[in-house]
Amino acid sequence: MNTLPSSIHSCGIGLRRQHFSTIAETKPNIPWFEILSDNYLIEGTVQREFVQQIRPDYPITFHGVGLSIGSVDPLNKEYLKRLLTLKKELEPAWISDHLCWTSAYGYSTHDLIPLPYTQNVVDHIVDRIIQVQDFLGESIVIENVSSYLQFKSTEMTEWEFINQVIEKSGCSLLLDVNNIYVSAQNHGFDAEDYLLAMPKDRVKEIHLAGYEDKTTHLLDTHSRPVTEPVWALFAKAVEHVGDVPVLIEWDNDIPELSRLREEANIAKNIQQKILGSRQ
Amino acid sequence: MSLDKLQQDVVKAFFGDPIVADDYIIGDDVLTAAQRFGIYKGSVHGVLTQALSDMYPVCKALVGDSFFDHVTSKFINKNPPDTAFFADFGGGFSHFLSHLESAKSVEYLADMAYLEWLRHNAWNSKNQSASDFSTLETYSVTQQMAMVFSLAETASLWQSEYRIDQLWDAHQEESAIDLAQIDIFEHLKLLIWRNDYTLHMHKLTAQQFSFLNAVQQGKPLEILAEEFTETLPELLSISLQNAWIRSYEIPISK
Repeated sequence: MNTLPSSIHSCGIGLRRQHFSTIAETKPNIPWFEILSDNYLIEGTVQREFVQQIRPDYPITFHGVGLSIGSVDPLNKEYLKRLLTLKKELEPAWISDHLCWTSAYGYSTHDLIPLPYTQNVVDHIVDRIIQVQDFLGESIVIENVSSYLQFKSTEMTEWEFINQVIEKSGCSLLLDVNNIYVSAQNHGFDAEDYLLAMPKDRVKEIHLAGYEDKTTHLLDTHSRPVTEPVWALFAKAVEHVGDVPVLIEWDNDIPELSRLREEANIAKNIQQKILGSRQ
Repeated sequence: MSLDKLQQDVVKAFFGDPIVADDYIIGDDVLTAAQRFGIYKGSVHGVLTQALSDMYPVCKALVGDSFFDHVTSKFINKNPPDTAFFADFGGGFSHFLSHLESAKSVEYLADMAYLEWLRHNAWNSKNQSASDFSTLETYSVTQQMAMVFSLAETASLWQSEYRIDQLWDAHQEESAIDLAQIDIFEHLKLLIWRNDYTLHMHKLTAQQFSFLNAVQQGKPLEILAEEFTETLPELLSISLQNAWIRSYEIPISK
C-alpha cells in the first residue's frame, strides 16, 4: 500500500492556484504545502483534482477560514462534513483555522473578525473546539489573528485568552508572528510580551506574512514580503518554541513561486542559525 | 454585552445597518471606534468585491472600475453572503443588475453577468469521466429505448437575445474577434460545460438546444425518438462527437 508523505518540517509555502502550473511542471523542492481548505470543499473541481495530483509528492496541511469557531451560530454541519471528506481524501498532517468569527446570524463575512476576550467567550469557544475535534476525530490547530479593534467588553489580554482556550480545549496553536506584530503596533502592547506568553509546547506551526503600513495602522494584507521587525520577532519566536515548521503566506499581489521560495529560505536560515547555536 | 448581541449588531452593520461603534469598540487618539469598525467593514466589502471582480471580469470591463465598484457595493449590501462556501457567493448578480436602473444603459450587462456566472459554476462543479459509449450496441433494443443520457454535471444550457458569447470572447486576451464587428442583437442558444481543465462554450442550433434540453430533463431514448423523429440520429451523433452527452444509464427494470 502506498502511503502519502506526512512529515511537516522546515519552511513550507501556502499553495495558491497561480502556482499550479509551475508546481506541476517543475515539481519544486518545497518541504510541504498548506492548502486553503475552504477552496477545495467541492468534489471534482479543477483545484481539488490538482491537489490530488500533487499530493503523492508533497506533505500538506489544511488551513481554513469558514469554521467560524467564535460564532454564536450553530457549527456549520455541512461545512464540517465536507471538511471531513476532504481530510479522508487528502490526509493532511493537521487542520487549522482561526481564533475569531467569520459568520453570524446567517451572514458570512469571509473575513476574520476578532472576539471580545472574556471568560464566557473562552467557555463558548472551548465547547465548540471540542465539538469540532470530536467530529473530525483529531485535535485541531488554532491561529491567533491580527486585529484593528478591541471590544469594550474585553476582560483579559489576548494572550491570556489564547492560553485558556488552548489549555481547556486540548487544541494546538498556529503561531502567526506577523499577526502578533501587526496587533501589537495597532493596539500599543509589547509584541514580545505576547510572544513569550504563548504556550511553547503547544505550538504546531508558525506563520509569516507581509503587512501594509496605512500610517494610522498596519493592515495584514499578505501582499508584501515579511518585514524586518517581523523577521526579528520570528527569531525570538524560534528561540521560544524551538524547531517548529514555518509557513510563508502570500494571498494578494501574488508573485512568482521563486519569490516565495526566497522568503522561505530566509526563514529557514534564521531558524537553522538559532537552532544550531543552541546545540 | 452578550456575544450574541455584539455579533448580531456588528455583522448587520457590515451590510448596511447603522451601528454606534462607541458602544462596542475602544477608540483612541489614533483611530476612533467608528474608524476601527470601518477598517473591518472595508475589509469585508473588499474581500467580497474582489470575489465579484474575479467572477465578473467582462462585466467590469464593460462598465469600468468605478461603476463596477459602486454596483458591487450595492449588491453586497442587498445580498450579503449567506454561505461559508465562497464559490456560491454572487449568483444573484445578474438578476440584481437586470433590476438596477443605473445599469440599464448597458442593456446586455445582466446577460453578460449570467454568462460569467455559468462559467464560474462550470469551473466549480464536479468534473466527471465519460461513459464508455462503445458498448451501446451490446444492449437489447428494449434496453436502448429505456436508456437515459446525461450532460456533464458542469453543463448549462442558456438563451440570450444578444451575442454574449462573442462579446465575452472579444474581451479575452488573444481574441480573434473584433468588438466592432459583432452583431450584438442576435439570438443565442448556448451550451457551457467543462471537460477537465478546458471550459467550452458551444453556440447551438434551435434543434440542438431543444434536444439537449430534453436530455437534461431526463427523457429516455424512446421519448427522444418520438420528439426528434428522423433528426435523432444526427442530433445524437453530434452530441456524442462533441462530448456534450457525457454518460448514460439504463434503468433497472422491475
